[in-house]
Amino acid sequence: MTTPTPYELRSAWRELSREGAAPGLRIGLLASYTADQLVPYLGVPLHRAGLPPLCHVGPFDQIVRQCLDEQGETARSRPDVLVVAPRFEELGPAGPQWTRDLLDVADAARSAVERWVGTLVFVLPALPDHQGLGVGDTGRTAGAAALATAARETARARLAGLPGILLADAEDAVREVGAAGAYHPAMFKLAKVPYTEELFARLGTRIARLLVGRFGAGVRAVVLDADSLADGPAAGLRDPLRALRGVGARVGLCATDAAVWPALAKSCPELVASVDAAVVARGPVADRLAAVAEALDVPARAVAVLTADPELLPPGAGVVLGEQPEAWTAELAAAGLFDRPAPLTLATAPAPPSVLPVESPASSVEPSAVSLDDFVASLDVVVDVRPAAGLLDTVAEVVTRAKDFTLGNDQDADAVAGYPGDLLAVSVRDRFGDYGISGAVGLRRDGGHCTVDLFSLSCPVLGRQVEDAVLREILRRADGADVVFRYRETEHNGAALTFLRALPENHPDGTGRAGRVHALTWADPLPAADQAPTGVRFGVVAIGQALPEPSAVADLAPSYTEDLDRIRGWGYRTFHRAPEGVGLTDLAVEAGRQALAEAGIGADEVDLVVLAIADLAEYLYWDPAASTQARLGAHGAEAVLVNQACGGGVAAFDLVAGKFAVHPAYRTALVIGANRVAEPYWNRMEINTSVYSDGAAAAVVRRDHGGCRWLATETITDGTYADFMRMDVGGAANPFRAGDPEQPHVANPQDRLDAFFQGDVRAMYRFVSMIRSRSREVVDLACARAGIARQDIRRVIHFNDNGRQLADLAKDLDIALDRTNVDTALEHGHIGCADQLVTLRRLLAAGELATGDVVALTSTSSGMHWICTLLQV
Amino acid sequence: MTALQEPARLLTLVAEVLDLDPAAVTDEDGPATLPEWTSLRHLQLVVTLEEIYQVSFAYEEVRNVPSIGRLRTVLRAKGVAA
Repeated sequence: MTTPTPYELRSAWRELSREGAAPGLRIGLLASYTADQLVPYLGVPLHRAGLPPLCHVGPFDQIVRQCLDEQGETARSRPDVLVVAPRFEELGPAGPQWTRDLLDVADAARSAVERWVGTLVFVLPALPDHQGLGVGDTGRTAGAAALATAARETARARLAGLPGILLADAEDAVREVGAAGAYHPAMFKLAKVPYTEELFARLGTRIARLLVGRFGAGVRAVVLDADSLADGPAAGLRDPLRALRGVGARVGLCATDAAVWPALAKSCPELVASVDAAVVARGPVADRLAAVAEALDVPARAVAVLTADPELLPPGAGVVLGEQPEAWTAELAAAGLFDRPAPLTLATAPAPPSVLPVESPASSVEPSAVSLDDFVASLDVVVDVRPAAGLLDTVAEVVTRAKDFTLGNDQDADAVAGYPGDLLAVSVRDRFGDYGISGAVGLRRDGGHCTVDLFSLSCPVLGRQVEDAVLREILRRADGADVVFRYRETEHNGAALTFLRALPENHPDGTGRAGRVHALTWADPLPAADQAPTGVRFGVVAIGQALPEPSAVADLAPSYTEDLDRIRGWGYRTFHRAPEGVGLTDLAVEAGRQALAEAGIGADEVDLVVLAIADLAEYLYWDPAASTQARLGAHGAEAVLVNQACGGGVAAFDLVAGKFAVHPAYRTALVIGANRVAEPYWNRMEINTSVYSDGAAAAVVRRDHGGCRWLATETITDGTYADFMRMDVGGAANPFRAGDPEQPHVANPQDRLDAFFQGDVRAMYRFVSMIRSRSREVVDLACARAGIARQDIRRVIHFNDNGRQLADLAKDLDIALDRTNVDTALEHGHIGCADQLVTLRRLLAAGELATGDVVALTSTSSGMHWICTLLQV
Repeated sequence: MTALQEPARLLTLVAEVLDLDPAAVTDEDGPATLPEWTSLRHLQLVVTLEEIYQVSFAYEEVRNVPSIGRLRTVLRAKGVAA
């Protein structure tokens, strides 16, 4: 007899699943380990027995919780059969409490099927694989094997013979496979799958046999194929037949010719003497079997055929006997021909055998009295939440592996390491053991609320109300501010979303305060009360610019680089190069004057000058913002220099909002972004992936001005990459020295990447990926602050990046490329902090923006910073 | 070289477990390019390869598999002519 391999059974199950037969049996599987592997081995034999199952595997190591929770996913699946499979390994260290804990599992499972009116298959756990003293464990009455045996027997005594309850035994499956081939440590570490497929196959088959016996026809009779057995080995049938008789099976003989009877009688006289029916029939096998079944007075589907002819046997209809008659009894047993249901007992469970060193067999609670709260309280769960500093590797591992309880925001290890807010590690332990760092939370204060975009827990700690404890800690840290969870729905994070969506809006933090909790997608706006403070309202009155004459990139590129293909690939057509002697502040002053003139506002009315620069000003130890203020004649204005690289022009709006908020007398501000490439240090065509331009743009903003109204600014800063753009010489750490043989300069991007990431290509790839994801994230944060959805943005005006990068940005933001600044970018080149104002000026002048349109000014800049300012025209 | 040792066999096995057309997968494919490559299917793939190629994987070898090509490399390191 050949037994199908696990691979063959899995393949068969895939085929059966594709066929999509209507399920006849709904099965819920709950185990203390990952039990998905069991499904094919349970499914195939059940399907072949006419009981096509629909299996639902519940969350692992949540047996009791799922049994007690009427709102849990297992209860909602309303199983006809509940299979419960605990292991001692998940019940904590060896001890007498194993008996109590196993009984709690048994009672909870029994209680569940009583409420759900189903059948319970309780799988007695196998003896633990690892026993403390090794071979010495056998000699201890309080050793792991003894304690496990006591617990098993107590559970068996508690459940055996009760109606609606079937018992299987994982130890039987381990014994069949052999302990050496039963366990899979690598799979257990990978996904809490403790067993080999061989073991799962044996266990699944055994459970299926139990269910077939209960719900299916079972084998009530065997038919011997006399044609194939008469000549030789019929004598070997003596013992198997005795065993079959012992379990009450009827026995029939079938032959195509009566001439075989004498030969059969000679080789096995007992057989012929004791059969219940002997039939001579010809024709198709099914017809012959039907004839014997009728003679035996049993349904044909309750008949199993024993034959030595493999050609005779339809699939699943019986046993092809092997070449060794002495193995036939075992073969019939393996095929389930001796399977009969255990007898029912009307009394409740008897006490376990007194020779076993057990605690009182009484469970800590009666089945009917078990409640979910009681159970969780009994776990003694301790949740510790602390800053993740020093634990980043472990936290990153937990976050990247968590799939079920996560906000779905795609944070990889680098994103975790560079999390721009408070990163917290969650450690969990309970009376079953210490799970170590099992989760992480990332939160940050954004104005009046606390945004949580990282909240992950690993599966082993779910079902213990750990998430509630972590939420209380988040609320405590929010200190009364509203908490906003930002999530993305994935195929797997239903557990987290169910938890978040079920939260009441007002959630106590355990200290008497009640913070409001919001669970929002990134597209959801914040509730109106949480949007940008209404006390600060200002808008853009006019925009001026100062751009040197344009030059064709194709004409001048050869004087900057030999890699002309790279330049062509960027798509820039023209750029601006200031003449010799024209400095950064010259351009800033010119743009500022033009903006003031267009606004019809005098310089003396300006209360605040904000100059944002990305390159060096004309001099060291010199404030170009103050110089600009003076040259403009804005002598009464406060001057502020912003040096957030290319993002300064966008970030300046936030600075204005802050100044306006704390200086009620300020009414007018002049925001200037200016750039003048210091060519000795920066090669404008090799320093980055843009062609750099010289120029400036300035915006006059006024308090309470309704046009181009500021809505919000958000900034993500990650100083991990602060060194990426630096020039090593010239600062205080390494001043310029006269007579240096080489002109210092900033290296090209590839060399900088190589140096910064020490040649780690994967790290470089992750870096680029992170830049892109944060560009999207900062836009979403700004939208959330402004109470709008990303789809509400009419135009995204990024810094004047090359055409390919802007196409990537459009893709990441899910907008059409022509809704970015790609045209202006390729026309002007990258003018440092002035890019966004130059494009905004052009769009307004061209009438391409209508009243009410929302515009996002965005930038990524060294530092690194990701910045987004939203304006509403 | 047996049928199991043919390079195409690995692609066929992966496709079978992921319920895909074998012609639709290449060595460059992995969880990032094949949505069908879920964590559960990954487990099924690991045990299938172990069974078919009669090998045993260590945790580190299957913890993070970026592509079929990487699986092939691991198998070859175990002496399998995959």
